[in-house]
Amino acid sequence: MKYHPWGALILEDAIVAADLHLGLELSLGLPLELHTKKILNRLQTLINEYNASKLILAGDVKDDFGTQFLGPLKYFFKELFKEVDLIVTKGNHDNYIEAIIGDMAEIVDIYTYGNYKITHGHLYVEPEGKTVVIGNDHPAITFKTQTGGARRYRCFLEFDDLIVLPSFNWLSPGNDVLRTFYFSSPNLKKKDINDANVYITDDETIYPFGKLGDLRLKLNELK
Amino acid sequence: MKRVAIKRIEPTYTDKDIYKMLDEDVALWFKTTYRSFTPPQKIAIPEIIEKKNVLISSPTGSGKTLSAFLGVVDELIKLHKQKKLEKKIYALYVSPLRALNNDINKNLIEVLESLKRFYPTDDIKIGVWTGDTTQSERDKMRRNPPHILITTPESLTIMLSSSMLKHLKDLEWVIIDEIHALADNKRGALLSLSIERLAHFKDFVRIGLSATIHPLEEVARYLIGPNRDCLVADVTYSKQFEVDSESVVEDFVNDPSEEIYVKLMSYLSKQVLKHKTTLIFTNTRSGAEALAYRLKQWMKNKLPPEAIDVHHSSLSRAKRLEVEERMKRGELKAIFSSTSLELGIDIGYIDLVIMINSPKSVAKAVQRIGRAGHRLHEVSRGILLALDTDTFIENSIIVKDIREKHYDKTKIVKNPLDVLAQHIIGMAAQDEKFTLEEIRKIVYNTYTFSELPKEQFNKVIGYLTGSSPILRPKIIVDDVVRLHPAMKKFQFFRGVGTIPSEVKIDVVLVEGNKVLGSLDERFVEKLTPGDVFVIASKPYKVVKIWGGTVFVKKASEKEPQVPAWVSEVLPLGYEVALEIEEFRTIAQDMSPEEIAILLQIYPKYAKQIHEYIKNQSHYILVPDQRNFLVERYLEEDKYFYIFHSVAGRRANEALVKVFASIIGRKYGTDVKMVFNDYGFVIVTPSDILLSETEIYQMLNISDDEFISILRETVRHTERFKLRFRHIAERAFAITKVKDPRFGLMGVASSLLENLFEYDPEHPLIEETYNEIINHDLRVEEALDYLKKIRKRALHYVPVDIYSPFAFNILYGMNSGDVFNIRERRELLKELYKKLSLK
Repeated sequence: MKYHPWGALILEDAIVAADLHLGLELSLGLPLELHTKKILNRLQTLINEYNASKLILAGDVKDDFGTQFLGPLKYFFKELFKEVDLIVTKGNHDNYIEAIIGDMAEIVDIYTYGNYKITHGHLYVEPEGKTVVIGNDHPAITFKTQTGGARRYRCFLEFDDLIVLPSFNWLSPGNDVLRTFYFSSPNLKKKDINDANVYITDDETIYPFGKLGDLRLKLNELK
Repeated sequence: MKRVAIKRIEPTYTDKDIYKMLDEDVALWFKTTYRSFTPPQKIAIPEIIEKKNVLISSPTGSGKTLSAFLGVVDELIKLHKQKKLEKKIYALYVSPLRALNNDINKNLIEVLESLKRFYPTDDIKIGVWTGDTTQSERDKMRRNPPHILITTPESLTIMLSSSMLKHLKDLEWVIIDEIHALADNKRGALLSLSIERLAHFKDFVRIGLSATIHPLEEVARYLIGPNRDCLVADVTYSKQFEVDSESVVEDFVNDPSEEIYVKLMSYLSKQVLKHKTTLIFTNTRSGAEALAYRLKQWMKNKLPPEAIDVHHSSLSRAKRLEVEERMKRGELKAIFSSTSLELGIDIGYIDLVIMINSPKSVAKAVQRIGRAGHRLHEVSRGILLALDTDTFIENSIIVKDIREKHYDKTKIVKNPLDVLAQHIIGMAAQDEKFTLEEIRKIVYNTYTFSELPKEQFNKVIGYLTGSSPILRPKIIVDDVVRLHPAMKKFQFFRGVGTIPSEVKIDVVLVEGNKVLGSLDERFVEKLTPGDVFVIASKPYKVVKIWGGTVFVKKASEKEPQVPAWVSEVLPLGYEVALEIEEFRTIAQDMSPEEIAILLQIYPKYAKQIHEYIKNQSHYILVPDQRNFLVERYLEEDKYFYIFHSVAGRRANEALVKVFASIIGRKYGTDVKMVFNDYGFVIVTPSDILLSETEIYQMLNISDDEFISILRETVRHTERFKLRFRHIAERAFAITKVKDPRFGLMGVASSLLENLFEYDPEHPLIEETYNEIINHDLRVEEALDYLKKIRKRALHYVPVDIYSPFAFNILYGMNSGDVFNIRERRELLKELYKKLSLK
């Protein structure tokens, strides 16, 4: 198992990516196609690099939008369908996803793969001895610069039996785990966030920053 | 090309002459109410009656506004008497401030009311149309247009593309107030296009009202465009200014900083008690908050805390209005402001204006002092208060300039491509369509765009018609220019304006759910529950940060962390900087008495300036017009190269960026930079020892290479992205996002990346470079300063301890940022190392 700096989880024969929120750009007034294409390219690169036969999209594949985006969305999935088995664990923003891609992907609430139970995260899933993998909370972390600015980075959160993936879409702002105390995933709510091992990515490298609680203390010392 | 006549006029008419020109009832009314005409009224009213374009420059309280309106009201009454008064808008009044518009409306209504005693008619109507006007009021105006319409630049732009256009096609006068606050920025550029668009239907008389600004001829050109004539009435000399440069201590060098702070409080408290109401300008919002808070504590036993308050643009509107009302009622003894109270609105009686640290330019100083007194015959009293020696020298020179009427030059914004794009969309959205040729004519008939290169205009049209695959088209050009179906009118209305959307995070008091003000999103990113900060001059503690809001509760009297609003440091004007160098050149051979006479300051303060210069001279040498000094100082494992370039922080930022880039690339290393108004510093690892030849070569860089390197260095910065975002918003390439959930930067970055890949010479990218390099970084001044340096003797000196002047550059009040060249990834890597994780 490996964390990839682009925000994906690499398993034996599968790539897991969460919260693609395709079409997010629409609500920001940005023209779409190029950004969606970039996300597609990244997934294709990962699939080829790791010779994966499965792509598991852990929920919130699409953002909330109207019908304008259906075409590009279908194209997105068609391209992936050519290369891998597609599995989608439904997220709370994935209304009518079956209608769009039902014939190209397996759409479930929970997908078990080896020792992992992959789901979106807005509904509680009992570990039953396995590691639950979720998205939904878009974990991120913000650090301050010397000049008084701040930079935000996506991160992975790892517990004994739970892994929280960041959003695969880097346009999504994310929730700062140092400053958020309210998370929406029931599995995550049950944990003490300070126990999480946090892995931070700058899109190029993964940095293991250790336990969030320790990190908090160390940052305070630096102040 | 027609030679434009801009003529300065003197008062040639007597009061009697003017009364003869006016309608007899109006004349009688004026004589009874005001007794005589003020200087600007004497000059301007006759010309306005004769329908000439006029620019009136005079201080507040000189009856400027009435000089504009009297001619209009007079004509309306004359028409009414002849039964020829139509139901149309005769005069359009535009000012940048909504508050000012409300004041003007009130004043005009009073004027008409009092006129009724002499000529009873209710038929002359005034209307106000701004963002605050209700829908029903607007409907009423649409059905029954007022004779005089009061509005803001943004509302006007919107009106032109709406059904109100038909009422604006037959104007006789357009009055632009506070024009000095518009001419030098993009807001004014947008306005000039709106005005020209109106003039296309039917030309009208233009009246500009301005405070002190220089050169007036430039502002006149802005007002009328390249093809018209204009008269200029300069009445600024008539207001009395009493202004002094003072210092809080007699000896900055030897007094410890806590002492200086104590003396500042004591000084302020004395002045506040001696005067009825004191307006204190600090240059930053955080400064205003901090000092207000501290002065309240200091004066606890002499003044109730409500007698001291703050006013700045990050406070909620309700709070600002409350402070303004209390000022007008005379309830405040001291008000701390950053820059929000510099402009127009009547704020009651202020008898003293204090500016802490330097206002950095003559125009700013004059503008601020002008807020005191407020009636023409009252003397405006102002004090520039310095907290360190360099600032004291700076202030003294500024005060001297004021006394000698030596003003710094304003630059009118030219060729802003994003404003052009926005306005063309507006013209495409207009009910009556224009052809592309008509649009071209309108654009080139403004002073703002009269020299726009043809290809830039075409590129903007190209962008708008969707020539690039990345951005969707907004307009269609065939026989006329119309909106593209993908661009909706309401989207245009929503995004009109030049003020970029900074996501403001509301600060809400948990008890009572009261909104206290707002904070910059970048500051909120740093806050944690438990942090204490000051807003609206009281301390609050963060309870929770949720969604787009910071929830707070009242905090106790412990040491607060004050909100640090970003990008507020005022830059020193280039002309003043050069005068400082001139002063340094001659002051070296002067005694304290001679310095006191030269700077027109009290001899006891001149001593410390004399000391300061003498110390520098003895230690190494005084950097001035003849000698350019570069110090090299070694500290542990770093070399500090300190360049004494007194060119103002904007030009210095350009210089340091270029030089740091050259050194960084040559040696393949990370280079740190510091800069302020008085110089810049380049910090390298100690294995890099620059030779005098290298420094000499850098200083002799060609203009072209300088610009090319500068463009490269700004390209990959957060500032470029942020600025691009603002420009893209203005040009409707991305929508203004109000939802605080979304990181605005990510959106702009994505678009920017794509544009660079597919269309690197896109007009929006060009405009971003332009804004940063010409406006933020003043490349013109940097190149000019380099030419000056080349004529001086270069002194490259290794030192064991840096000189007194260098101390200010490194640690002075004005110090700029320290930042690395490669930002985001470096930060994370460094942090990882620092926490000893690797």
